[in-house]
Formats: sequence, structure tokens, C-alpha cells
Amino acid sequence: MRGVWLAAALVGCAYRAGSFSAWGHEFAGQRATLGCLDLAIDRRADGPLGAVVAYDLGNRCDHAIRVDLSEAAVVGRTGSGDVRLAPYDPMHELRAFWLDGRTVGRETIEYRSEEPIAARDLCVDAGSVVETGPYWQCFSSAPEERAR
Amino acid sequence: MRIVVLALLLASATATAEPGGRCAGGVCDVDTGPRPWVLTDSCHEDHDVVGYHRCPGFDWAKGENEPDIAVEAGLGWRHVLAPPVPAMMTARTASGDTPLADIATAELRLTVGLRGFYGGLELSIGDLTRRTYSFGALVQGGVVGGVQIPLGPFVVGAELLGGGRSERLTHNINNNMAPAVTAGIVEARARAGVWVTPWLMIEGALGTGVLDRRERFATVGVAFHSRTYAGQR
Repeated sequence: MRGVWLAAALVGCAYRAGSFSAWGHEFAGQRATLGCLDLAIDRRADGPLGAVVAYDLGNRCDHAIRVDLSEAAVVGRTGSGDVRLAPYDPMHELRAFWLDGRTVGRETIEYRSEEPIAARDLCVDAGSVVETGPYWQCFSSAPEERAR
Repeated sequence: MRIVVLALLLASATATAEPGGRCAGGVCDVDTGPRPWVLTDSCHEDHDVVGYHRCPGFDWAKGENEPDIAVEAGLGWRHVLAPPVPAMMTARTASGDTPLADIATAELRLTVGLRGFYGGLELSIGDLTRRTYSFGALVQGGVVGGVQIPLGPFVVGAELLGGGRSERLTHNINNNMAPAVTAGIVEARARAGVWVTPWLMIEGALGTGVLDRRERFATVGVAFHSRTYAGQR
């Protein structure tokens, strides 16, 4: 990864606002622009213990921005209502970080509930990542289920 | 030694990670819960999900007060006090005992910056040969500190360097090596640069000696920064 950063620096491959791609990697999932942040959220195949959500981040601005994936609000929709899901973070890695200007980042997080639920639909408040106000994005089912 | 390396590799390959466990040097912690979708038999990175990956994640993330590290390389010109001609040598082109010489230098520096202030180390190597003596070299280094202000795509700043200089002359590079002449130096400089990419800056500096105002200094170079725009925007 450091080699990629070095190569990017030498050829000037900074993130271009609104491109939702960087260095050949296309941001996957539903896209949103929240202030300086270009954010794509994708629901990946569920794990046995939770739903898996991938975040692609791109900073549109020249200055660093605060991104807090630990604050992302994620709910599973069941027949009996919405259930708040919590990120699986045994090493306590999730916290507020700064994304440098014109750079990108990518993280994938598993979300679990206290009690096993049968949530086919999943909603993520993209706005909670950068505190810009609610911006919900919903996913009907995990990709593997959609393929069936 | 080969046997030890082979044994370590074997241990690494055969240490089957429990699903969700963590590995280090072939030894894996056991986590609870079946996660058959995590299939690993070594401690190589195999998963990008937080909590499951083995390599440190968040390589994109910066701390709020994470400094910018800059590596800079360039070429310089210095108008410096040259060492006196050693009695045992014959100066090739020295005009009398003129103490000043113009020399070309290679410049290298490493600085760490935060919130507009920076400090670091600097090294300069110059050739005293051409206009002074048969062979001569200048090496100087020191600690540099300064402040820089962003102005759109440009950066301007001022800095101070304190350190030492060593100059050595010889008429024959294999013999008659004169003792090194060392001196302390203090230089005041103005710097300016322009960002060509978020990580790369082309910059230049002009300076003068503080201990001897007759000394002059100019450089141009390129600086690679660990944070985009030095984290100053």
C-alpha cells in the first residue's frame, strides 16, 4: 500500500472530486456526496453472525476531513421493526480518523445485533459518518441472496 | 540458520487459524464463534473486514495531530568562507588568500512539521575543487527549524539553521590531505514553494550567514510530503 501512495505521489494521482474511483478502483455501492466526502456504501455477502458493509471514502477537498466510521448508524429491518446493529470491532480499531485532502480510504465492517435477527433489509445513515445530518441508504438483501 | 527459517515457515503454514482468531508469528489466538467464511491457514492478510484482518488496517487514516514528514532533495549554490590554503599545497586557481568561494552543493533534508511549524535535519555536500584547489570538499549539517504559511498553491516561510561545517583540501587526493577545517554556522533563510501534486512540492530558498554576513546560499529542490499539502489546508 505504501508503494501505491509513493507511486501516486510521483505521478500526481490525487483523488478527483466526484469521480468515485481511484487508481483503477471503482467505488462500489450506493454513492453519496456529503460535504467534502464522496462516500460509496456497499452491502457485501453476510457473514454468519452479521451483515457486512463496505465503505469507500474519497476526500473532494484539499484539507483533511474527520471521518468516524464508529458512529455510522446501521439498522436491520425486520418484520417487527428496526433493530440497531453494532459494528464488530474486537480490537477497538474504529474511532474518528482524518482523511487527508484528495485521498481515498476503504474499510469493511461487520454489523451484528444483540439477538440474532432475520433482517433482509439493511439501512445505513451515511450522514452519521461525517455528521452532516441523516442520509439513509438502504439495501434490500445481501448480494448472495439477491443472486438466488 | 536455514533450518530455523524452515521451521518457522513450516510452523506458520501449519498454524491453522481458528475462525476469527488472530495470528502472529505462526501462533494464533482462538476467538469464539464459528466463522467458516474466514478461511485461513497462515498469518497472511486474507480478509479486509475490521476485526478479522491480520495486517493493520486503516492505512488511509490520519490522527488529528499526525505530523507531516517531508524528505527534500535539491541542488544549491553557496558563497562560503573557504579554508586557508595549506602551506604544503599549491593552490591551483586561488587568488591570493581570498577567503570566499562559490561552490555547488547537493542538499538533503528530513523535516517533521505540524500546524505550520517544522524542524529537522539537513545535510549539504559541496565540491570546493573547481575554483579553489586541486581537490576539496565541503560537508555541512545541522538542525533546521522554521515556519511556513500556505498561500493558495504556494507556500512561503522562514527558517533558521544551526550546525557545523567541515572543509578539507588536498592537492593530491591520495596524499597531502590537509586537516579538516571546521566551523559553526548559523543561516537565516527565506523559503518558497509550489505544490505540483498534493504530495510533491518544488521549492527554493535564499539565505545568508548570520555569523558572517558575506556568506550566501540558494537552493532549488523537490520535497515529498507524507501528508497532502503538508496537512496545512
